[in-house]
Amino acid sequence: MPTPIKFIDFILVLPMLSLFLFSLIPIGLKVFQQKNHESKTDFVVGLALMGVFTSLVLLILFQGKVFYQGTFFAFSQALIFDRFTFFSTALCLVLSLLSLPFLLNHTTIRRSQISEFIFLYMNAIFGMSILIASNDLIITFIGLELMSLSLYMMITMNREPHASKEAAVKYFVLGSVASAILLFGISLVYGSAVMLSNGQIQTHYSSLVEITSQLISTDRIFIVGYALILIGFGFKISMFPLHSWVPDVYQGAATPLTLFMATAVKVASIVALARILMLGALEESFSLTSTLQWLAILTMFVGNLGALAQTSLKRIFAYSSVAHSGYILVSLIALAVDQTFFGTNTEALLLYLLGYGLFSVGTFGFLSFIERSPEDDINIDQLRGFFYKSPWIAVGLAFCLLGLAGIPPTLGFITKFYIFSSAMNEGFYWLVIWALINSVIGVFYYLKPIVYMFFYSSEEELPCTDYSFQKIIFLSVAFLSLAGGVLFPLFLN
Amino acid sequence: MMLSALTFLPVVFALLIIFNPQEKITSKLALVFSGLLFVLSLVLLYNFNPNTSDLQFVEKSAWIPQLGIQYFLGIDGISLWLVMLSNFLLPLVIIGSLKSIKVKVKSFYAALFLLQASMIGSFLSLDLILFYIFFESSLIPMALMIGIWGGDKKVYASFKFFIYTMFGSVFMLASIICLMLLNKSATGEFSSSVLDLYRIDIAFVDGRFFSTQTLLFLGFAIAFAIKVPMFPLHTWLPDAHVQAPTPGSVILAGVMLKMGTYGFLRFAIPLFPDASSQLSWVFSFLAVIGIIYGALVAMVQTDIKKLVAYSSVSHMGYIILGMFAFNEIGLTGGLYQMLNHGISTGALFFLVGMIYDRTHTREISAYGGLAKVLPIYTIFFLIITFSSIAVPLTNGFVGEFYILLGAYINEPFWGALAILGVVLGATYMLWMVKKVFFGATNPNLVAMNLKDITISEYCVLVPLVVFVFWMGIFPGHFLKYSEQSLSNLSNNINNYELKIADDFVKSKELITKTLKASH
Repeated sequence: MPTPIKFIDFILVLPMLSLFLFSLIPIGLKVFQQKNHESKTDFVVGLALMGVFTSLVLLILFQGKVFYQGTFFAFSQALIFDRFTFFSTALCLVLSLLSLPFLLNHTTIRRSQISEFIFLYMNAIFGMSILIASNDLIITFIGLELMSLSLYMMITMNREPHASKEAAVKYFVLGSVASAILLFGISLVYGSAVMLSNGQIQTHYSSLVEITSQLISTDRIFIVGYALILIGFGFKISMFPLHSWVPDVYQGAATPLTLFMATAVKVASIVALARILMLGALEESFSLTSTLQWLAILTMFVGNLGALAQTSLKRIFAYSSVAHSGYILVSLIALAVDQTFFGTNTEALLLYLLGYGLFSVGTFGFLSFIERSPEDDINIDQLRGFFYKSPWIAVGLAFCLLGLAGIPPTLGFITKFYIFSSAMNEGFYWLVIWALINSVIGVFYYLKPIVYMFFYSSEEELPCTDYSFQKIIFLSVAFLSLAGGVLFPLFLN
Repeated sequence: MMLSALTFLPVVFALLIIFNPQEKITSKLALVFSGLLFVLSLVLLYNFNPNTSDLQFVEKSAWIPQLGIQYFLGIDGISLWLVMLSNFLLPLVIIGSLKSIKVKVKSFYAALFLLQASMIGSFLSLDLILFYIFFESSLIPMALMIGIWGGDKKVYASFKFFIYTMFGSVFMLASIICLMLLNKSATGEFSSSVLDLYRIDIAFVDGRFFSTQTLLFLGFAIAFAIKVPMFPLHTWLPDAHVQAPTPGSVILAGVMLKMGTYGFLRFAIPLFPDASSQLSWVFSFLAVIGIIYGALVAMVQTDIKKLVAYSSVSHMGYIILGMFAFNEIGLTGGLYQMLNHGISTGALFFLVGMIYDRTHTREISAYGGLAKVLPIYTIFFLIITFSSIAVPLTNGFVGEFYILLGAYINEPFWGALAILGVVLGATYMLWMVKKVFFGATNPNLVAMNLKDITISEYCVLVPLVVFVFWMGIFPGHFLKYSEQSLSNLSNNINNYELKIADDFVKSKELITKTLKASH
């Protein structure tokens, strides 16, 4: 039975609401001003930063108590608020907060449309927080679509005339198909769940988890539905056969937007997928587990081998993001077969996402403040001798790359160690061996930019924007990557 | 605090050098800092108690308690000399690089100190994860050193070095995680401290090639064998050595290669005693092949530095042979040879660097009759050559004698084959010496108006030569410190345990007691 809506429900969703309300301010100002006069970019981005920051503060104020009082549900169990939600929402908000400043002064951003852009941006974050907190497949779908639709539009809003449009159409068409598959899967899962209990069953996760293990071994419709849901999400997190959009879309999109997609958006999709996997289907279904394992291995290989062949930095980082989806899948599989709630496996996943997110902010952030014109596509060759021109930026990028490669003493090593040990703990020895082999392959292309920056010298000047704010973010992320390796226990508490 | 200081002061020094605004005094600053470190290591040696095999100067505190990872440093007779060696070589390397490093001086010294920190850290850490972190961290500064200040093919060499070593250590990481899980299933708690891991029983089936213990051992062995490097995995070494700048080569040969052999001695052998004794024939075999192959390849080199690099492959083979003899004599020889190799090969690289700075060529054919042009240089070169080919009264003789004796006791066949290597070693070194220093003087050399050894070069070479003789004539002065540790290892190889020295335990108890009393 649906429970009546209470006051506490609104308190719990305040962070989300504040995101939405703040998203209305710039576009509202634009509508009410004469001749659609556009506000200053700095002001609008500043407003967005304030909105995300407010949301983060509200999150800590109002959801912080989930630590002491356990799990909360809102709107008749449509949304769940537990420590997993809290941490992943906080992570997404922090990553958004870090990626927003890179919009400032970027050549691809249309200043005449900045209010609309920010409106969409904030709504994407809004969608992400719904996605993370969803406790129901339909709410998951709504969150996912809110996030994706905003992204489709944001990708087209680019001063660059060709690649960005191609990317947007590609992403939109493929994304819609994936969404359709996801929706079909959801309907099949609901159908079989409701049939089992003669319509008595509620359709949120907390009730689904009780019957999943039974359905997965008896009901074929459920298996098909569950697999389709995984396929739908596989597209979003760029799992192996569904990864091919990533390099093109990441390359076509404006770099600050790519940064946003590679960090916050990806983290949100992965967290939602983790919730679905935590229903416990993998515990019962050996074939599903082994299929996912192979897909994880192939994802890593495709990402790493693909990156080897690239010369455009943006495509290298895009493929590296695919490879990281593979590592994350390793962690997800471990989480799926043993969902001791908020045990080591969840911790490992969240920490890995934190590390991955920070380093991606570093790599894509670097690209975004080095680009000069909308058509710019930084080639690895252009990094020649970068160390001799701006040593600190070069060292910072090197730390981010080493972090992504998982080389000690960066944070990347410890997070990687954590997910591998959690997977080994569940008995996936071969999976981890494959992952380790892949991380060696990864070292090849993560080292390449470092080699170009440090070992070659060149006369050609690669300009950096003098936007010190972005540089500060970049350098602090790079520093975190190093310090995080040592101060790691602090993140755990 | 002593060990932490030795490990992390170099990091502080590296930062100080980077942020030091006066470019001019960089090298002086670096020299002072390295001197401080050396003095600190002498204090350590003075306070070290040689009459026990226990771990001393222990520092232990939880670091990542969820996974049982500790910040755990300690020193015993095995690691003591390696720490001393790298602290001894550092000031010499800095004096040696005053002339050869001209660009990016600050970054160079910073990289050198970071490298020092990671090497000392890996010799001192007794927690596997901590060890792994230090072990891997050493790659970055070394790769930078080769890549930025190296020769013509520096990029290739640096890349190869990094990938090779990284590839090996990844398997070690898998083994480490497995060990931690085994410890968890045995005791119920995660732990990565070697002291706990020595105790667990790892399943081993004799006669079967792949049991758990063998697989885990191989994971460690690949990492260390690449680092040493052992025969089929050695190909990165000649490239790295030839391309690296002189200081880089000295550190690489002098200390970094020892991280591999030390790894065998500290981790691979005592953690997996059954597997390592089962596979000891493989390692002895590869070691002997390495000895002979390295010597044969060195014989046909035309580049002096490459010749020294291949001689390194050959010498490292002796160390492995000694360690896999599994008796005290062999182990002693292995440890002693690590120090000898650090001193003699380090000195050889210094000498090659000095002559290269003068003539800008390393081709053997470009020389001839150098003894008449540079008499003092020739004397130094000859002394070091004798040390390298193990002439009695030099340090090399002691080490090789111990190793051959140990190998012979264990398995006469390997001992006999390795003696062949001694002859070959003398052949290629003396051949080279003959071609470079004696015979008709090459007129180009006379025309170049070369200067003999300068004061700063004396400062580098004299200490090394002193140690060549000191270690050759009075090996007891050095071996007495490691005797206890090595006999503990060889006598209890199947149930090896390390204890923490009493004074540390006592002080801990005292602290807990006072804390309780204050409550």
